[in-house]
Amino acid sequence: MKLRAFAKKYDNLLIVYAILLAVLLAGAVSSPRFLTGLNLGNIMEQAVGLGIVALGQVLAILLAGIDLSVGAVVSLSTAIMSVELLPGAPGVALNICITLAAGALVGAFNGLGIVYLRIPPFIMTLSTMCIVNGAALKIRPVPGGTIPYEFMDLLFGRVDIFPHAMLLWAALGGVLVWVLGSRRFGRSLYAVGGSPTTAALSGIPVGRVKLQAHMLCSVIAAAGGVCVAARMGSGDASLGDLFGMDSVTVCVLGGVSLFGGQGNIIGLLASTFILSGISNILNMVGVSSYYQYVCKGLILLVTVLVFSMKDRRKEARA
Amino acid sequence: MDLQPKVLEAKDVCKSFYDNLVLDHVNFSCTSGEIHTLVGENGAGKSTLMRILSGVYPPSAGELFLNGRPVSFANTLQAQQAGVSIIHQEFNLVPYLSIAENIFLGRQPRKRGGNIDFAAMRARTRALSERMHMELDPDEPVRCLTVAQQQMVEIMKAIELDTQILIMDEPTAALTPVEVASLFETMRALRDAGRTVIYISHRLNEVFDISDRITVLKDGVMIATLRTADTTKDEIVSLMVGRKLDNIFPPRDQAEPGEVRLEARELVIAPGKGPASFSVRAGEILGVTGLEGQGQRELLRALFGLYKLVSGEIWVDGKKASIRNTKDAMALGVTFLTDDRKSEGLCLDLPIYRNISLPVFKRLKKGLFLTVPAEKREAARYMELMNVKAESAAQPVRKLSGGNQQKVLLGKCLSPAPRVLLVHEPTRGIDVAAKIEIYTLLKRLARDEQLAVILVSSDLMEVLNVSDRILVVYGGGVSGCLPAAEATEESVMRLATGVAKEAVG
Amino acid sequence: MSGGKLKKWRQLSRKWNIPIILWGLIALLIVLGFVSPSSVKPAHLLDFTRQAAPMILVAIGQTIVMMIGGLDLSVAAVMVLVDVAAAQMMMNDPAKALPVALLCIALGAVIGLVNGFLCAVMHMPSFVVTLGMSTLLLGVTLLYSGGSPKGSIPDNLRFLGTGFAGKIPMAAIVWSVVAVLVILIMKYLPVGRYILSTGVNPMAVYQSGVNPVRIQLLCYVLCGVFAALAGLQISAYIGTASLQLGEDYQTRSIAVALLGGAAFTGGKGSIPGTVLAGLFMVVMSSLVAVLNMDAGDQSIIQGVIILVGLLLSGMKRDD
Repeated sequence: MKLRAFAKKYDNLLIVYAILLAVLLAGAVSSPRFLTGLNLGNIMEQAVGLGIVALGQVLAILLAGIDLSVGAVVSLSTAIMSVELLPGAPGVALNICITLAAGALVGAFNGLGIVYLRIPPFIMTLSTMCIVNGAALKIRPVPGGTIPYEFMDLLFGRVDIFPHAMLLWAALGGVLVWVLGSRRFGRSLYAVGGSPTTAALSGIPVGRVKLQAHMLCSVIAAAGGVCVAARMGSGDASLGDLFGMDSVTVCVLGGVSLFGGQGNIIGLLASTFILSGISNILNMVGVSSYYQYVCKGLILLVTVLVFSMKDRRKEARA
Repeated sequence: MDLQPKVLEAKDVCKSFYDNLVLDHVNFSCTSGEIHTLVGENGAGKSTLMRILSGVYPPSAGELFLNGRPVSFANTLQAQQAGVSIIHQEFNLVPYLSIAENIFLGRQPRKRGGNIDFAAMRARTRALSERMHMELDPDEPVRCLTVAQQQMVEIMKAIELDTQILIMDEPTAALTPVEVASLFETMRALRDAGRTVIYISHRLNEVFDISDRITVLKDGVMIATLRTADTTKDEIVSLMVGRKLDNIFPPRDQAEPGEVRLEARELVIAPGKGPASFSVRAGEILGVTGLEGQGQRELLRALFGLYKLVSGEIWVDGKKASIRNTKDAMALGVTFLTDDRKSEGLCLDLPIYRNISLPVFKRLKKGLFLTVPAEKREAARYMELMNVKAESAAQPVRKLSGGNQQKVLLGKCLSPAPRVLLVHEPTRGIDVAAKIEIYTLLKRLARDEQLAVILVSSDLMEVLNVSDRILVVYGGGVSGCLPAAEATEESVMRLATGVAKEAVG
Repeated sequence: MSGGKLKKWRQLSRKWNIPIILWGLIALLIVLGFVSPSSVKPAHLLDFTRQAAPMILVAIGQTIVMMIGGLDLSVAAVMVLVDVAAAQMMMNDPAKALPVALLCIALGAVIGLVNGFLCAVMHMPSFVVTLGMSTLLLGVTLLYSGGSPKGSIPDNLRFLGTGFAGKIPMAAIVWSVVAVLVILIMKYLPVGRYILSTGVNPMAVYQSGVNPVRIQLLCYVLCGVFAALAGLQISAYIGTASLQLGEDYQTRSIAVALLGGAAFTGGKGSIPGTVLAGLFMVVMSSLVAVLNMDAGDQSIIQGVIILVGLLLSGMKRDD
């Protein structure tokens, strides 16, 4: 009975982890190399950038908003990271600081527009996306620059099969689980997303929560950009183009509702791996990588269809 | 009781919105340990007064005193901190959060280090619900609760805030009789603990059941504050409307019903309920009433294709009809006035004429084209018939008063020239003047145009005084049908509670 | 005195239902005239009307979907798919132009129907549905073309993109005709009224005897059709298949609809406004181009102008 209550409460999670299991099984069946440590490490390496960005995106979506500018922030981050300001480790540290600060700035811009000018998040972050992309292009009009090899190794060297960046992702995810679950800020975020008027009447500073969440979102996206830069080894103002919509896809697959106030971090791990697992499998069996788009689109549509049918049945019962 | 200290007092409070004076030098006070009811017609200013007392907005003039000291609340939060909480009709709860989290929203107890102390939150929630004799799981999400349970969560939230004065805006509107009884028990317990409950209601029976004192507001003016023990329902009603009941309802006349327009045979709304059979004739108003949730809503909606019946047949004009959706119903000449005009009936942001012409685009168009002048001509007819007060037909419906909105909605139901008109709570939330007009019109349509009208209402006076026959619904079935001339409040209530059962007449 | 005049002028502007974005467009043109006087010569202005064709077509569809409170992120993918399919199937054969074009439009309609089914009938959020559809269609397009699309567009269809009738670009005539038709439908046919009413309150429409789900389906289908038309317009202009061209249209068509007066909440939107907003976008791109800016500056300026345009139109809408 308790198991059942658990299943009812976390049904979205069960669905997404079941899909992940299916993907892993499909991989294991289609190639013996799939379940090797090396390959699983590769999948993680590929997933980690998007995974981190999605951790930020989820904050915007929980507020019943969206952040389309995260992709541009990733591009900007790779551009900033690829400029050598100082030689050696202090230089990299400085670049990272500047990148994260830039992320915070972008997030503050989004947040201020959404909170004080009451611009819908979609269009606010779309404009920001243009602006931040422009900034990235100013820094890196053409792809180039280099990231110090040592830094790439620092993030993508492996402990057993796990790339270091994967551990960073896990740590960040853990921190967010804690913040969203057991801190007032996190619970306020859910309240603001679920019912802004109630949140305001309960004394929650709605505007401040939104502003902070958007800043956090962009800073996390910038951190994701640092990982992407370290993996690619150079700066490119178009590297992040797909991250905006892809991070939304990850969140939705992970069971986070676009209507706000519903969902959690745990599902994102699975949904990120579903996406990178699929492209990995397609690669291994040697079919056109174009199928990955078809698969991605279909999985998104089918999963959300299942979610919505399930919710409607629940409502019908209530 | 007047000698007791006043905990909350409003002195000469005025409130105007734009140029509209909504409250005119109102004096209101309550003492600790009382249940104080506020009654008045819609638009009398009850809600406005409550919102001023609870800090939703400030008064335009006048002063508030709390425990004898002048106060001014910048927002509801400040009022809450001072001990005044309000529970609106729309609950302020976050649906996806748990009961415990809703109660402690924004002020969760924290452990050292700042983490939320969920264990303490749960324990206190459990203690609260035990105090109210409720069995609630603190971790249950609020959206899984019934309306009554959600209301309890709101009350628990107010108690947790150490509220001295709890204001409740029509708390019983959506509750079943059993739930109302348990709510009243809670309210009495709060009173006995020395707190004050201010209660807004339209249901006079309940008001006399629960309150210690009654304050009557009319057109923004405070008429009187009376001890419940010293007054009668009739007195309160005449104070509320400023006239005798007889003058509200059209004079009773003898119906000369024609042939049967619509007949419901053995309608079953849910397995094990009903069945219900009834019919309405041309030129007749059939009043349908019953306690909340007895199936009258579903039966009426089924006649318009808005509710899927388990079984049963609907006959229109002597022929068996198949009403699967609203289009089928309207093709048979049936139209429906919903009880929820804002979310179901009207397009609030569209102009009046567009709302009235919406069901008759097909008739209004010339060739392929539909023109605004044609729509406006059509609308003008019904605006005149209904006496809609508006700047022009192009005014968005949102800008109209409740009464005028309701008239527009009735115009929308009449523009397709129906043969059977289904109306559900036609006068909910509108002023007396509009009520009188709507009653008169319904009567005239039935008598002069030979329209068959089914009127479903929870307002017993309305049903008794407007209809020709009264159908009482209980448990999804018909517990009795009385000629209006013979029906009394008592006889209807006996049928409504299932005490008596009569052969369907 | 002058305040009264301003009020009168504003009332007049409201009476004639002039979209606010018109003033933005005029302002941009004036700025453009100062920066680069040669750009506001008639020939140039007419060229704007040609360049704007795909955006106007796709944004009209987007506006219709937004009127009912939806959103279509798959329009760009439809455009690219149509462009690729048209080029590969026509293979420069004038005889095939019409049947293939019709096929492409039907394809757009079917895609719209699927979107509509999932959103209106299955009650899935349009954002996710059309995002998934967009990804799916991208994959289909890539698979269909093998990553390097071939073929080209015959001259008879290309005439609609590059030709002129007298001095007027054919492309401008195409969108004008389409826009006028849609405006007439919205204004004078019952279905147009139903669309707007459904956006405001679907239940009120249902209680008037019309099924709002059908209206919603129709809107998604129309959006797919207009995206296909926009794709064909691009094909006609560039004459070949390209996988790159659609990207800009996914989110920007929404920005154009918003600038034209639509709102995410539905129940609002103006086709004339959308047309003007489409022109606004083209003039804006042209302005940043003549300022001789690099790609970075262009992007920044565009972001800022969208934001400012939206703020102004939003504020005006409230009063």
